[in-house]
Amino acid sequence: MAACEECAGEVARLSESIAMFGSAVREWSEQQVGTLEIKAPASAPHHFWAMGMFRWQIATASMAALLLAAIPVYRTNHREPVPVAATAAVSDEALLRDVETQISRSVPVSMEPLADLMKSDTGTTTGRSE
Amino acid sequence: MESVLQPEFTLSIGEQTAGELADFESVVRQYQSAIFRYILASLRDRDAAETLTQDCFLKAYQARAGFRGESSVKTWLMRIAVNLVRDHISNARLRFWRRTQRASIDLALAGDWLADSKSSPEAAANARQQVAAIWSAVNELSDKQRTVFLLRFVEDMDILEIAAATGIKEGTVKVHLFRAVQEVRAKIAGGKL
Repeated sequence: MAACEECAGEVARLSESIAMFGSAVREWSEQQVGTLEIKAPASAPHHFWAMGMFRWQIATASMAALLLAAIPVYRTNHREPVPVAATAAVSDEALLRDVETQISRSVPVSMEPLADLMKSDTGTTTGRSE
Repeated sequence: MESVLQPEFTLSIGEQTAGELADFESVVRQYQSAIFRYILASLRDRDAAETLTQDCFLKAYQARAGFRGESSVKTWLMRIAVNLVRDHISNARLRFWRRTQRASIDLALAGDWLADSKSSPEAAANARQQVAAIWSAVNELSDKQRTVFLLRFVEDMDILEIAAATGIKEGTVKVHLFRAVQEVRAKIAGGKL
């Protein structure tokens, strides 16, 4: 490099040009930075965290309201189901009892008033004959 | 070329320690310009740069307990910024860098960035042309090359700091930097720099 004046000259010119470029970019940046508004995060937490807490409070309240509204609906739709087998068993027993009652009757239900009347008449007749 | 790269092999930890992160507002005040500058130069989009700068400090604040002081605060913040820029660029919908129209607007303004006006109008015009040419050449670099190039020549970070900020090995950083400079040199050769 030292032996080549042309090379040394080129390097010097390149160095100078690059240095000028650096200066120019710094100057340009300084012009732009004049209106820069960078907020230190340390000064922002109040607003930042306040907004965060506020949002969490809203979210929590919304969730609670939804849960409260959902409970009655859930209860309506999820009542204790009566077992089908048990219902059927009860129905069968009632039916059998009814059948037995019907069978054990001396006369059909519709004729019971007449049968009662005849019983009365029979008693009266008997009394009379005696 | 070595003199262009000017590698420095000392990692300046800086005076900041993990304890100093307790006053995070002062950290933001101290480093917001550097972080914003790197992101702005990488994305060339002011709104995105401001958003990512804010994100960078938010992430840093959330992760400050994990900072052990193994690097400087600036390097630590820069690493977060590098990751944010990488993620941003990898998002196909937000490839601002590849928008030629936006880049052309930047190039038109590039000449005005030079703070120190040259002695003569001709020298000033030449300087503006050089800056625009390099800005255009940097546009064509790969993401890693651009990152390394900007950290080295805009942020004045040394090789070890760049390695720490990018998570790339020191040797690989040198390779990326060398290739980036070669690319820039080749692409501005037409400008006879």
